[in-house]
Amino acid sequence: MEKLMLLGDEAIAQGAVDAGLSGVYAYPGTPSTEITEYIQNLPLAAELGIHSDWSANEKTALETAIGMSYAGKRSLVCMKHVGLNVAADPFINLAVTGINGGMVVLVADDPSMHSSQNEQDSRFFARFANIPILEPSNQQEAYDMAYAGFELSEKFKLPIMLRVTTRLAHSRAGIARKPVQPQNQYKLPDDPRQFILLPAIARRRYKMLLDLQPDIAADALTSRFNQYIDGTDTSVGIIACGIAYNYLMENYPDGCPHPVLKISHYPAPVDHINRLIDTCDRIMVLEEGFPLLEELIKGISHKGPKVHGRLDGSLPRDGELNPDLVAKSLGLPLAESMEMPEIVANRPPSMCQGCSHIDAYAALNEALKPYGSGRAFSDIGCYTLGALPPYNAISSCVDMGASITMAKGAADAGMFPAVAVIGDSTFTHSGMTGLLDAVNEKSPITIIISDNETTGMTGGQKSSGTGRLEDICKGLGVEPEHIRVFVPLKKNFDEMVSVIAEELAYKGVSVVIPRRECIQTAMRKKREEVKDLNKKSNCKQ
Amino acid sequence: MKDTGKNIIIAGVGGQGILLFSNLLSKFYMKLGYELKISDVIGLGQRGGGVESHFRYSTNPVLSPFIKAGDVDYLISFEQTETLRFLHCLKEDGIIFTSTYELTSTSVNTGLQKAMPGSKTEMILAADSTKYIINPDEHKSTEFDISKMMNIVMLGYYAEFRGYAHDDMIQVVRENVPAKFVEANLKAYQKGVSIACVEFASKESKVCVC
Repeated sequence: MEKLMLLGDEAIAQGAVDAGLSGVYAYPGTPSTEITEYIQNLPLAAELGIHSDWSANEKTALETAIGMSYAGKRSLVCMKHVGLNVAADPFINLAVTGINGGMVVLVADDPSMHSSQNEQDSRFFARFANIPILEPSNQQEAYDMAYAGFELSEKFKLPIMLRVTTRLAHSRAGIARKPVQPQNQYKLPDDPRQFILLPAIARRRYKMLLDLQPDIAADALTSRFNQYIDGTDTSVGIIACGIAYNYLMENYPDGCPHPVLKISHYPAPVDHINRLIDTCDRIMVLEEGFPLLEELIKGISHKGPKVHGRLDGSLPRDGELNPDLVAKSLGLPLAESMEMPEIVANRPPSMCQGCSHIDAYAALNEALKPYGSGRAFSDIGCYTLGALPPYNAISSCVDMGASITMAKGAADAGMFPAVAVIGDSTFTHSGMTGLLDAVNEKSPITIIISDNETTGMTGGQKSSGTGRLEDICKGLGVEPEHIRVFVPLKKNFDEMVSVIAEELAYKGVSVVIPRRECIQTAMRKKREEVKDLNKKSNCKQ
Repeated sequence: MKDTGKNIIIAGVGGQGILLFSNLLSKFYMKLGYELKISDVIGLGQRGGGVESHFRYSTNPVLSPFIKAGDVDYLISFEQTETLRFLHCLKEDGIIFTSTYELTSTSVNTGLQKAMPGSKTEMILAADSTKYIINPDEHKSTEFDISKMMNIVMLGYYAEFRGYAHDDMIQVVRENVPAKFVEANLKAYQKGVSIACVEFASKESKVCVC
């Protein structure tokens, strides 16, 4: 079979489909979005009837995937690292219930925060949950692990974490495929009480999970994804996790002279680690993310082996690794290169020309003038760029949905008016429950749901509440006369300002909805219309 | 294969067709039987950010998606500020292919940073590396919009520079751009080839085969 040129994300998607996947569940989040999109656009997936619609958030996605596993089928759930915070509750409990059909939880971490609010290392979460982790070093391994992950999951009756980072998710390489496996048959769990976490059952299940740990560790020790490679120069032994293995080998095109332990399957293989410690004078740990293994190997007493890595400054404590940082940590010569001229301007992102958020911010800033700045709380999305000049319109961006609840908290502390600016997709992801809190206490806050009818930041995916935002707000108890909708355009500026001003003055919950389609999805639709017209006219000929 | 591989940085800003350029080039090198690894750093490209693609092809398996500092053979850039941003990554004998197109950064437009004084083209010319500079304003055509198809112009230029069989590259273009745009793209490709021919004839550094 000819090799496919795939992104790491796409390789995972293809691997899961070929492994007999029945459904993928996800909320868009960089750098994980392309996995679900690939399955949505894959003719084979449509043919096989694989579920691939977006979920409202990561928690609903993970729970739905558990339901599919309960019914005996293989499910994949995908999220970015902060998405796992949202889904942490079902994630941790899933390790206790175990699975029926194989389940892979894909988490894409974003070290260096290319498109995130923080950097996290999701391996901690898997360790917390006591489940195995697969961490590919390249795209082929990403495919192979997605393919093998379901079998591993069914072997131990546990979910598996597949962990990647931005660079692997977003680079392409040739992928060799394996045969497509049939999907599992619908089949209920053998133990009808397996998924009922009442304390009596949960205690038993948790013990089962703990009893499994030696087996999981033994399995990882002999895993083909982990490899102990001998070397003659034992002055240092190197542990290279995930993609860091490639950064290491990039520096040794003719093979590494030092003993190397490649780790891509956790729990970390302790026997191999001990062998490396016994063989070498000191240990260098290369990890993409937090110094998880480094800290474990070093131990709390500081009387353990000599360990280098992110904790002792051999590598930076934060940010993603690259071949140059790895070279430096090992004392290898770096290429002498010219410096980048300081004069080269940065190119930070900005809102698109014609973006509806720009008009909404113009009106909001004008309406807030009498009250002074520092009272608009915002959220995660393109509109977060409203924090930058020339808008300088918002004072916060913490996590999905926090605009509404922070505005409520500030109002509780005496701020009036307090404003929340949230996108339509973020609102249905995590804003609705906060709105209910505000309605229950009649908090004097104004919520701007800047509705561009899509999930814009990640490239225009379906937004869960499109066409139903007013109904949702009404249903949650917002008074209909305080739900105001307008079209954010320059020509409507005066109308927008007066609507927002009226609602700012109201001492209860108001929802203002500036609604105009995202300029990017609108342009894409137009291009597709042209393409369709073209096809039709070709047919006539 | 005499050529055992190259490291290429392809740079520019969102909307310039950099991913298509890198995609076409990858299809071409795959047909030649090379191993590839391509890292697309899109940043928030469609929102005014820069786009940077690390493109590596080799007769051996390619490991890192990042090219090491000072290990870049070719810098192919569609915007002058981006050219300057990556100059320092080039090997000593690395080569620059750049458009003179310029898009002022939003950080300058909004007053967060000062504009660079002086001519960027002159700064590029002052670099030690061999450089091939295309000014799109000098090559406007009624047959295609060079402001939108500089990527394909550059592809023709690059293929001519490398002495590749144009038929093979054109086939890749045919197979991968929408049918409606094939003709305009082929015109843009030919334009790139002819700009290269004139350039190399005057420099006498390359033998022109067209």
